[in-house]
Amino acid sequence: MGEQDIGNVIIALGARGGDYVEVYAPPSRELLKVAVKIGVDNIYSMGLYVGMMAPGIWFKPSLPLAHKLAPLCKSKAKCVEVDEAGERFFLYGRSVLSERVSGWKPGLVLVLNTRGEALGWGRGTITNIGGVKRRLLEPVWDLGWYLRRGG
Amino acid sequence: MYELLARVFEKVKTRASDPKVRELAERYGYKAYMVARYVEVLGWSGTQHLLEANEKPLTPTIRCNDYLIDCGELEERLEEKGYVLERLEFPPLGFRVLEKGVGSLGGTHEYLQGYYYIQDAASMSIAYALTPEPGELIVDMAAAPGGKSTQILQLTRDRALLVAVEKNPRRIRPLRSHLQRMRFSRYIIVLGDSLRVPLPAGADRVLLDAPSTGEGIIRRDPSRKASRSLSDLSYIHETQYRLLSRAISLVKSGGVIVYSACSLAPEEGELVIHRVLQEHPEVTVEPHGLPATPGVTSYFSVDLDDRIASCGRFWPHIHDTEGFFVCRLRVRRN
Repeated sequence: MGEQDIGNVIIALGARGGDYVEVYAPPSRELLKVAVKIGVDNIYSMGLYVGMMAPGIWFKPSLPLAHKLAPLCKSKAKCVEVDEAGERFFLYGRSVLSERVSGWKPGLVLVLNTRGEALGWGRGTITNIGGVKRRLLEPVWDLGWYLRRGG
Repeated sequence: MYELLARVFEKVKTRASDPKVRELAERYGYKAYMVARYVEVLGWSGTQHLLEANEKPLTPTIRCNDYLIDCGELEERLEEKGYVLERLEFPPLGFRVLEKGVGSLGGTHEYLQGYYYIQDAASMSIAYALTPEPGELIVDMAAAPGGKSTQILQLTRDRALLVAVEKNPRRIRPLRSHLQRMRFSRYIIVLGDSLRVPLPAGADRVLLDAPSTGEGIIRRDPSRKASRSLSDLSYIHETQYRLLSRAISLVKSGGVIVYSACSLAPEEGELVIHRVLQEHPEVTVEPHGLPATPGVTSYFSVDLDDRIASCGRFWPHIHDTEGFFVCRLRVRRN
């Protein structure tokens, strides 16, 4: 097999029994050729899992994509960093107060820990808690999902 | 039923009626036919040692994912959390977890980052027998939950093309989770029966970690002492033989197949290989390179192919692992 970057090829697989679509980026042409021989209907997953699309969700970026993009946090990507306690909250699927978030920003963000490791995707929101507006980081898809659900 | 298996079973039944065998089986909670077979392979003293070893729970072991992290760093990070680790002599990336730290072993942040996989030492040895290389097309015919699939991609630095097949929709979910958690991408997961689903021919290597009676995992699941019968064993042998025959059809000429089963039963190991060697002259046995004991070549007065001595078995009482059979085969067609 040749080593070829074919990053512009995206495959969407209809999820089994669900109304969502999973999006994959095959890392090589060889992988695509083998997938064709196997038959798309028999394939459960392939290559880099990019994310999913479903009714009401335009696009939910995946955990593997978070790892893939984490090196871009220093320059291009929209990222925040959580402290150690914030990391624990986030991986339990709980919101994190902005005091524990370095570089808090609104909207979808890639979440890192203090070591620079990707923890998943979050969303910066402003929420009214007890009459006070608080800035939060809400989990969108965190690594704790591998324990809580997986699949 | 395979004629050789029928002959063996007759002798197993006779041995199982021996009062000494029955007494030993009763004392440890096994079906008598199982103990009869252990006595045949190990003798009385070896059987006693095996049955005693099976009473002791396995010390947990993990495989460091050196594709993502330096194993010394992983060791330090887990020790900061109170874990006490000891490196295994073999396989090289394995650690024995002597004391657990904060949280469960499958719930640490290091685990979620994909830095290790919880796996028995015998199980994590099997991928070394396959010797996967970057650039190769490799099929894992019974891939869930993914210990060996992730290891194949780890050994090739995510540079092979792995086709991981699993027929159980419930078991395929952890397979995908582990491949993603450990950050591999050069794989296709196929939901289907390896006997029937379309698979690419001409694979460089095929791993068949065959579905088995699980006689090798009694230390983890003591119900296996009595949950299977001789007729189950016959059914499983037949399935294993058919799967291995399919593996032969998938591999290219010159390609390698590793057959393994988490079982102590020669019916699931040596007898499957013997049958394949008898019926497929294009198949030969190669040294597997693992620190396992040689395969059995004589079983209840049945002489098996001498080449099977080059297969191997991990024993709970000798290697302090799960029980595992492994055999490396090479296919050469004219």
